[in-house]
Amino acid sequence: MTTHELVVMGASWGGLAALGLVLSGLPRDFGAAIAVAQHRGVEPADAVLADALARKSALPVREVHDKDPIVPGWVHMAPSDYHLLVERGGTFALSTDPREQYSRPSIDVLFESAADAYASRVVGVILTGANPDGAAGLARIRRRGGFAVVQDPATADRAAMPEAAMARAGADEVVALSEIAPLLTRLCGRVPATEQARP
Amino acid sequence: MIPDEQAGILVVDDRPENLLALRELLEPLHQDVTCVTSGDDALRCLLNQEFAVILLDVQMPGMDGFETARRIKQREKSRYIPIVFLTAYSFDSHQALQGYSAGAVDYLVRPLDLGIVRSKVAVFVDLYLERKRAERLAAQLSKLDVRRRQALELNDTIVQGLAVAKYAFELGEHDQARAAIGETLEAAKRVLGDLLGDDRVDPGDLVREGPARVPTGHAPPIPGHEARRGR
Repeated sequence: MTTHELVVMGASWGGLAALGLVLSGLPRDFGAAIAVAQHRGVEPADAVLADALARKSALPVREVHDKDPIVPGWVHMAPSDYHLLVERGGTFALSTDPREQYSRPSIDVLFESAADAYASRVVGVILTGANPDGAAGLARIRRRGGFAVVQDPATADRAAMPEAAMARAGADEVVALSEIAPLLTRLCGRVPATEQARP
Repeated sequence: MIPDEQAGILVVDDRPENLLALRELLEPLHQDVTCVTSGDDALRCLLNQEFAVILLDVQMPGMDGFETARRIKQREKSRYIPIVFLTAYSFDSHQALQGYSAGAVDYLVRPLDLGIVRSKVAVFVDLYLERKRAERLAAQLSKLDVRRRQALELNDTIVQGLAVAKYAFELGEHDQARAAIGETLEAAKRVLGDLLGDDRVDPGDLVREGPARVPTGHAPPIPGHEARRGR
C-alpha cells in the first residue's frame, strides 16, 4: 500500500539539471503527485520552465495556477515570482507574500504547507543549491512524520543547501542524485495506467 | 494641398467685383482664399481641395446658391463644410428655412458689414484649424501606441526566448538552446523591422559578411579598385 501521496522538491543553484535528471528517472505510472519549487528569476507568465522539464519527463509537467487540484502522477511547478502552497483540500494556492530566504517561490513555504496538509503522507526532497532555503521546511516535514530525502552533497552542483538541510532537519535518506528517482518510486509506488489522471 | 497651418476659404459669387471686395476683406486672416464665379466651378474646386468654410452667393444665374449647397451636401467629401449664404436682399422666413434645409449654417445679408463677415469667417477658420490639429495629434498618438506595443512585444520575445534557451542549456540540451537563440534572434529582427522600418542594420548581414573578411594570405583587394578598372 502506498502511504506517500505527495512529493515536494526544492532546488536552487544547479537545480534545473538535477530536476531534469530526477524527473527523467520517474516512471510514467509514478504513484504520487509532485510539487516543485525551483529558485529562478522573474519571467513572463508562460510556462517556459515547465515546458523545458516536460521534455525530460514521462510525466505531465505543469505550472500551477491558483486553486489547481493536486493530481497524482503530475509534476506541479511553482510559477516564477509566486510562493506555492499546499492546502488541506487537495489543492494548491499561490501567494505573493514577501520573499523568504530571498526567494519566491520559497522552498520553506512549500514544504511547511505540505507538512501541515499531508503530515506523514509527504516526501520532502532537497536538491542542489547555494542557500539554506528548505531546511526549516524539511524539519517540519520530519516533525510531522513525513519522509526526508537529501541529495548527497558530494553529488550536488552546490552543496550548501543539502548540507544546511542535513544540519537542521537531518534526513531519512541521503542519496546520490542518480538514486533519487528510484528511491521516490519505491516510496510512492506505481499506479496502474487506467487509474492515472492524464492531462 | 493646403499647408497645415492654413485653412481654405471658398468664395462663390457670379459678380467679379463682389469677389474682389471679399478677397480684400479676408486678406488680413492670412488664409488661402479661392474665388469662383459659379456653382459648377465651386463643385469642381471641392473635388480636389479642402475648405474650412464656403461663402456662397444665393442669387446666381444658372445653378443658384441653394442648388449648389444641396449638391455640396450630397457629396461625402464636402458634406460637413459649413456654408454661409450671402444674399442681396432681406429674406422672408420661408426662404431662410429653405436655405437652412439646403445646409446653410448662417446668412450674411447685403450690404455686408465687413467686420462681421471677417469675424464669422475667422470663427470657422479657427474651428477648422483646431480640428486639423486634433487630427494630427490623434495620428501621432496612435503611431506612438503602435510603437509602444511593438516594443513590448519585442521585450516579451527576447525575455521569453532567452529563458527557453537558458533552461535548455542548463538541462544539457545544447542544440535546443542554440535553436531557441536563433529563433529569438529571428523573431526580434522581425519585430525590430516593424518598429524601425528601413532604418536598421540586419545583424544577420554582419554575421554573414564576417568570414569574408578573414585574411586569406592574398593581398586584400583595394577598395574601389574593381570599380575603377571596370570603367
